Amino acid sequence: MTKPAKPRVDPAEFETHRTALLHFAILQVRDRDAAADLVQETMLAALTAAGRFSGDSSVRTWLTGILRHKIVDHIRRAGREVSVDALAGEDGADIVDAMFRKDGHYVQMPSEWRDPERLLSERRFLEALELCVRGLPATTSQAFLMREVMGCETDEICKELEISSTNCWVLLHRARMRLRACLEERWFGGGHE
Amino acid sequence: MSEGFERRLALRERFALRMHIAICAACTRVEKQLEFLRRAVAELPAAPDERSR
Repeated sequence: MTKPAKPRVDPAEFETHRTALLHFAILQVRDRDAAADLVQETMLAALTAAGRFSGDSSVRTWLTGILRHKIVDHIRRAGREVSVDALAGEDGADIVDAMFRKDGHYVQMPSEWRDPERLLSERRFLEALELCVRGLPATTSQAFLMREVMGCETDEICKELEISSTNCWVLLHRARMRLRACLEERWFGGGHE
Repeated sequence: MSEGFERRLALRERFALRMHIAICAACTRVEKQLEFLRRAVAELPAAPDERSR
């Protein structure tokens, strides 16, 4: 009787994910040295656990999951609270809700951002954006960065964070709207243009 | 609209969304801005750590 072959993961592949993992960590952890350490710990843990990789998710999502837990532990040890609730208390009636009327329409026409493409290479803008990303609440941040930085599939993100797919999409949507509102306040509304 | 970022919408959903956006100037504007934000986030971190370990 033959057992089905276990999915094989080639440890040499892990290095190809290092840069993305580093960015994922840096955007959540203040200290860049700490971020690099957490990624290195993740690589070592993955090498040790490579034989147990089940293939249920992509290698990238699997590595991101290992790193995510290390980041959560790191932040907890550093004394900041990590919200474990995906929606309630995570995002509150707030900056996003205030944009909409009860019937779902916008309260006012969202302002125009004139010629934003040039900002992609402007350091001060990217720093303002990074501040807004760092300001996202914990689970929102994890979901958003798994999607945008790691490129994980949404269903894998939902599974990793143990939230329903509906809640997952709502979370991601609110993350985008929240970032938009933050940038309105920090950049576009402030006369920087 | 954000679901459109997350999964391929069924053809009927895509059509309905396109129709709505065509009518709703606010949504068109926000959609463009969210697309821009996606590209901008791809440029982060603003000062990436270049050191190799």
